[in-house]
Amino acid sequence: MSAIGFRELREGSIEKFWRFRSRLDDLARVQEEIEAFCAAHHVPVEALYDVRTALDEVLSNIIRHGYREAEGQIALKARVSAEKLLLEVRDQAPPFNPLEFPEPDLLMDVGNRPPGNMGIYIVRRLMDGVEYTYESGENRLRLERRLKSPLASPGGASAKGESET
Amino acid sequence: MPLSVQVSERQKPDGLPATVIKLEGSLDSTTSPQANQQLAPTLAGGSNFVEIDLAGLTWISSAGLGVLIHVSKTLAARGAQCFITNAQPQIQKVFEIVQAAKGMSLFSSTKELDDYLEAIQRKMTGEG
Repeated sequence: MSAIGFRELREGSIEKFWRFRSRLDDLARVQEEIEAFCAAHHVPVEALYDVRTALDEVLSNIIRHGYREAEGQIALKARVSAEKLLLEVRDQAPPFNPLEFPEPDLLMDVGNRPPGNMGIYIVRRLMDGVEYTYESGENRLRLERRLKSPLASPGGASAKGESET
Repeated sequence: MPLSVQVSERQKPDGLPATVIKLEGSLDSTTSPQANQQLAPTLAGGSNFVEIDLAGLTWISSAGLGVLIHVSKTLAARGAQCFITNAQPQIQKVFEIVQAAKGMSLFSSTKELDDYLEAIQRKMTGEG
């Protein structure tokens, strides 16, 4: 994998880009990169925990269900400011909007629920915003996690899903 | 972050042995296959009481939850008990999001688990 860009934006936020293969060992290295990026830019550890879990869900979905274990490219952009951390994940797998999937039935015994759906539900609960678009042959998932404000407890993402082909 | 799986034994308050599985590091998409592999002998073994100690576990994702659910269900299917203890706050947060307590036995600490077991034993022997 490679970190292919890093820039400081005028409004005081920092952006970093990576491109990597859709493989679990690259996923592990991406997590290390994100941890280092967050640590370097003083992202609170609670937010880092949430971001790391959310990324694991999103990236493993792309690897398993998007690319179906075939080789593909994934691009990740992280932008951090004092107020928030934005992640954008892009892949070229067939169109797949994870936000369309139903939420898990939380009344059921956790061991009896149908598999799937838990991962994206966790992402929506941990992040403050989740958006999906399909543009120019790419699935694009944007995750936003607020970093400031005592009221920023991730109790539910405002999820929007749009499909454009 | 890698995953470390350590299996040991301890004695419960009633004097009977408990298998303790300590999971440390990260239980996620990349480490769950390894976890399943390393836990297979314990699942196939004869222990009737298994404590999964998460004190050293820093990260978990739904793949990791799948491992814990699989362990709980497999043990329950052969009549063994499984308790999960010492989850750090960020792990508890994920448990709460998915309502993991519906179906898995979660205790905040090994002491809380032992207190619970002692209370059960007192009830059974008529002391409570």
